[in-house]
Amino acid sequence: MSNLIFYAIAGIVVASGLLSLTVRNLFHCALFLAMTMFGVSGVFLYLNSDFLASVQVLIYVGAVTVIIIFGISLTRNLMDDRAKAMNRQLLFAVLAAAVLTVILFAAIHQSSFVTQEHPMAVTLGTVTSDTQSMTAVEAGASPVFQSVGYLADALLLPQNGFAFAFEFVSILLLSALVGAIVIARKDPS
Amino acid sequence: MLTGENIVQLVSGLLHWAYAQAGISSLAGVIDPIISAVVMFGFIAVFVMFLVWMERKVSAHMQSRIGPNRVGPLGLLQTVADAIKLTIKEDVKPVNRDKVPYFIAPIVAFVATFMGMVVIPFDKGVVVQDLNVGILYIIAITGFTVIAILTAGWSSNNKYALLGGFRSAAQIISYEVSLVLSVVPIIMITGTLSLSGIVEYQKQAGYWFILPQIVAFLIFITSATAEANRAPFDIPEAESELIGGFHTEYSGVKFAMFFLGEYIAVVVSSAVAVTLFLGGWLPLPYLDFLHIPGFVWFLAKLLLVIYLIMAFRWTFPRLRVDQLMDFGWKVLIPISIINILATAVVWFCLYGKGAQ
Repeated sequence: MSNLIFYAIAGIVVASGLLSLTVRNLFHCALFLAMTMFGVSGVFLYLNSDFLASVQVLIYVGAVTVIIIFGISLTRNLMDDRAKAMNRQLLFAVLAAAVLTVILFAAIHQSSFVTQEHPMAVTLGTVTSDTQSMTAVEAGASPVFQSVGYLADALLLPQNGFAFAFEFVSILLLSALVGAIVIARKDPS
Repeated sequence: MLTGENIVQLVSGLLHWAYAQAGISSLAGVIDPIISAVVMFGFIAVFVMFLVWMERKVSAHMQSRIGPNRVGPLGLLQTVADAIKLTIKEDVKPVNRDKVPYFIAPIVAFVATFMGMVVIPFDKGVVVQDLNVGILYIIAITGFTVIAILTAGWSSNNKYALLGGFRSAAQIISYEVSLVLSVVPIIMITGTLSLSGIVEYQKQAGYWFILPQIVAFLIFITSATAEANRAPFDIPEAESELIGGFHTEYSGVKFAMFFLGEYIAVVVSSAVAVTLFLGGWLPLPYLDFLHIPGFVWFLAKLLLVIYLIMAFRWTFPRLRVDQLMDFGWKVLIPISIINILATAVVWFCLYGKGAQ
């Protein structure tokens, strides 16, 4: 049953991801991209990571896709179904995609995943179709693991060693923001 | 004593007895959420009908008119008549529309706002699904309306619809920033993203957050009004300039879905405002001896905030596009950032550490 749900979500993600690359109409591409991102948040929900699922929707559907739609609306031939799907940067695109794939594979290979014995996983298997957990839900206990606090501890506690990287990324984003404003600013003259 | 929690326990007890009789107890985990979502849908449909009537009465009162008074007592059935009219209307579609997106856009706009209602706690324990990232979930899921509006404007293949769609998207994105920033101080103080948790904190603290966070409340209400595309921030629709904006080419049931979505957006934002700033289901101070159930308090506060948002619409003139953007980016966002910093400093001085 739960495997079926996973394959349904994964199927939607892969199918709409492929469609977002192959459909000729740019606007449809953006909509399929939104669907892909929403599907990925479904995967996060399936893994009981409600915080990541919310943030995925907030950032990738609510912000990134909308920016992309704004961007492509400013281009010509928007409604044209015969537009070329390839361009001159094919080589670099393939290179970047290959590098990203290698990095992702390495990261997935090296990380240790949460198994059934982990305290995180205990609540997961018993959420539905179990009278005991139903009463727990009625008593106000959330069936979903408290991922917010866990993430905060993992990222921000000094002994875990991610605090510097976290702050560094936030400074990077801030400088990107300031840079965007400088570029968008009207010429003083 | 009658409380919302007791009612929910009674109903779920009856339901589980019925499951046992029918021999489908093992499916309770699947059926229960569906039933509660359907109940929520029924509630919101009736409530929105009431709100449309209320809006017309409020506007009539402000303009020294009587408002609807022919259909049913006090004109209460006027909205029902309007709804029937909308559903049997001919569905006029532009020939050059982009068929699938044109069809999907109103559905997404409606579903996205309705999904926000799912985490609103009406009383202690009376909530469809009490997510512990509740407030983040609402902000995220209502973000879908931007895509729905852009899609509606674009797929109609009409310049007014497209202009309205883009104006609307720009406005929603801009005001979403200040909306989220105005919520941050509450999360900093309570240390939780769960809506029930925030209400419980206010119960223990003994005060509602509108007192220390009045600035955040004002920013939240203003941004929420702008997010719902309501006057004085209704430039995306602006009948006089854009003949209806993104829903120009929509009629019949599809238009009704946008209309419904707009009102549900008002309900969701008001419900979040009540939960965050007005103590949710908590009774007024010194009035808890009356033993009025929590959901009555919640609905009373909800109607008060909705009345406030309706009163805005009939009091203020519409803003210009540049004024709107200036107000959002140069006034609301700086104030909310200063509010966050001030809250952090004050709470650090008072308690010497972060939340909890």
